[in-house]
Amino acid sequence: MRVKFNETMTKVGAPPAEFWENDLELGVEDILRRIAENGYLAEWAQGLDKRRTSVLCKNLGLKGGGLDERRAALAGRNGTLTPYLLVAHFSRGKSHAAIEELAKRSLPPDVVESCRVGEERYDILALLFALFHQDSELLRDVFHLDKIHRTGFARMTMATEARKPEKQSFQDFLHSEGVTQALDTADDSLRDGHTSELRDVIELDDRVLVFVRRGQRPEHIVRDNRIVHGHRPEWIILDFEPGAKRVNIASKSINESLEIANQLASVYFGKAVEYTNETEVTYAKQLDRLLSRLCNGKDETLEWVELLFGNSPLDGAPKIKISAQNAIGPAIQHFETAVGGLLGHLDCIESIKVRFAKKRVSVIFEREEDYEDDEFVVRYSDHRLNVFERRKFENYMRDEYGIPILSTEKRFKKES
Amino acid sequence: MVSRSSRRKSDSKRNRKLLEKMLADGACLNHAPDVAEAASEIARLGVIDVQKRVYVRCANPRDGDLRYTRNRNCSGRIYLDEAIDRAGGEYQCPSCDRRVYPRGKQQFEELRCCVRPDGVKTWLEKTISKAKYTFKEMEPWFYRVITGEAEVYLCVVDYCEAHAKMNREWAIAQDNRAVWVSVNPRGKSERTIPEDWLRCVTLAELLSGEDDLPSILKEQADSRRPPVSGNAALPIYTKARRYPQVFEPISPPHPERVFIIEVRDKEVRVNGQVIIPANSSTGNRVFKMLYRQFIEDFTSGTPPEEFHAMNTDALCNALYDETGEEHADLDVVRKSVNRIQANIEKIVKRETGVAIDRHDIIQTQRWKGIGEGDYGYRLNPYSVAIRPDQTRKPET
Repeated sequence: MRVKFNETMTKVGAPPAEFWENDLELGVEDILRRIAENGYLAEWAQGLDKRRTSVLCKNLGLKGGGLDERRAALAGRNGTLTPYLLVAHFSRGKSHAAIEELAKRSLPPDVVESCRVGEERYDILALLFALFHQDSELLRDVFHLDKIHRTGFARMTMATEARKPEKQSFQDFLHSEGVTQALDTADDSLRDGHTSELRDVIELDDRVLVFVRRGQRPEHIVRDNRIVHGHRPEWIILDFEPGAKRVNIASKSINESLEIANQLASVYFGKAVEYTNETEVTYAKQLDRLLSRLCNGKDETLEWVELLFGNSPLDGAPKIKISAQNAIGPAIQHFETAVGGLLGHLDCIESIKVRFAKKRVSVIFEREEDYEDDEFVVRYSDHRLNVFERRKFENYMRDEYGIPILSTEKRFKKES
Repeated sequence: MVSRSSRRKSDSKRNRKLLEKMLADGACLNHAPDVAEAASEIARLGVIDVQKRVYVRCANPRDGDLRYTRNRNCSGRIYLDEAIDRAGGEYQCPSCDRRVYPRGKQQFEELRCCVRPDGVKTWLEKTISKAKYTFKEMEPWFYRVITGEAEVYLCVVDYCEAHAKMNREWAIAQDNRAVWVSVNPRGKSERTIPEDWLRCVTLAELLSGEDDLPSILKEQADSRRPPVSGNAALPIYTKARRYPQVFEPISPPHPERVFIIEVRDKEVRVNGQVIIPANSSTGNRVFKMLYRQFIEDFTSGTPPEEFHAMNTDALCNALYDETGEEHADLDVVRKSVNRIQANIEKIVKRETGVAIDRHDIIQTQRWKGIGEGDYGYRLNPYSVAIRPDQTRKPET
């Protein structure tokens, strides 16, 4: 089945199974089994709407016409339609923001416009069909960029003084042999038997995104009634500032990803350097102002929807949570009037949630041991927002309240 | 240098704040050396019971199991119990219900403080006895104390049930010869009627030494009828609603940032806060140079985008003209300006809470060699407003 599939793909100018399975992590065999059933592809083509059929017909060089005609024409193109079915499977659960952004960068404006659904929405599958037709490698970019919108990034800054090498920019370094050397060194020092594989380097908005795939924890699957053991893959994304003095790290693991970032920077700078978690101070008065405005509903961008408060004024000082779908400002005012103050006790506030861009974002006021009583570090759950929303949220907090807000994600070196 | 007495005062304030936290019955505090010390001190007096508890966090970036958590921001704390098998999967996060294996996770300690009412009573009675005052408990938690010739009442508002006496009119009828002690730190600030003439004191104030109970009793025993009017019998203390029932007005939002600059003889203020003190002579000089340039552009009607900036060379020259001292190192001047920028941001944020950026007062213009036109520093013509020196008096 696999050989036949590869032959068909070569014939229609589509990438082989290796691309779908390894690069896009899409299980092809199940889909092929379903395609083998009679009429599966035709049935799928019958379910496509007008935008998708238009894009597909254009891609496959079929004549237009009414929706039914287009569907019938597509149903007749068995082999050439197969990769598009795989694209449809690939599209499941992918970030709309990532696809839209890449499509706007890579496709002609009229094609993007033909996939528009409403004022703010696009038909994601139609865009993916167009991207695949333009260059199948773009799906790899979608696969990678999708990840940056879904995971939080720990903000790290270089703790060691290092001078930028004169001969080579960091971007050039990431395309050189030095990267392999750095990854090997990181694997050696981690001593967990896994190998780091550089999957991609993408330059985006003056930043350099490095994608590394690595085995993480043991896992097993069932295949033909037998257990196959392996490791769950982990994606480590390093989002470097141009000079590599700062890096944002997204990963499941804590110390492995940091070690890789440290090794990459060390090889580039030619000396051992380390990144450490970034902290920026916010003062109690600033937080008072933020909470007061949220409580009084004076902020039109943020809506306060949850408060988690330790050592409450209730008898026995239990932890309380005030949460709602809409603003809790009036509820907090009522609680303060009826029972006791909440907002004046910043050190008891474990977290708050605000609604931004229609999503509930957690914000915590962190105390560091060596800080003064009125000094806090404000952090938020950035994984709830996509990259563009994160930028907007951070800028808003900085512009409106002067609060530098960081991610709740942190990375630490493994204590030996 | 900070004087000894001021350090003592701030120590006592800090100590009082700590005690206040502990006297909220059931409060949990992170275990730190100063907290533990203060807790054991008042536990020795019998006022509170302190229980040390060890816990692990459900989601902690320092733990190896963070990769298994669904919610990497879960705030759940899992308290360890010797009786539970740590490796047996019997621990569950109370917040997300995840099964947690505490072995190998970072452990934290916390102190849970429970107030002992009988301990509070013993401490109060001992303190009164030590002062050689006689007392009688008229009703539970309501005392009549004889301080020599005069008598005064003492009420512990948290536990006292003598509602007939715990009201404003009764206090007036007794010529305000009463002291109201609250154990819960919120008792004085939130649950007691906000009347200045009432003598309210918290147990934390007494325990920290900020206030002395015998002195207060003596002072209050000589109290006169308060100059108040009205007949409503308002309760002195209530847990049913919070006093005062008004909210502090909040400052209006700042869609466009404007900062008021006041340049005095020896200091500079932003929004009333001293941002360059008298002892920073270089800071004052540098700021005044930028200020003069700003005034010059301002009076000549220059559009904001064309306000002149002074580079470090120009600042050095101006400093030389004024002081006659050579500032050979441009870096020193540049660092001085950077320090002023950072200080302004820090002080305004810390003292007023208002949003401000580093460049809102002293703006850094384009770097040398990048782009065209002027570069250096200037007072930001978009966000700075000037105010005359308020200390100046008319010459006589």
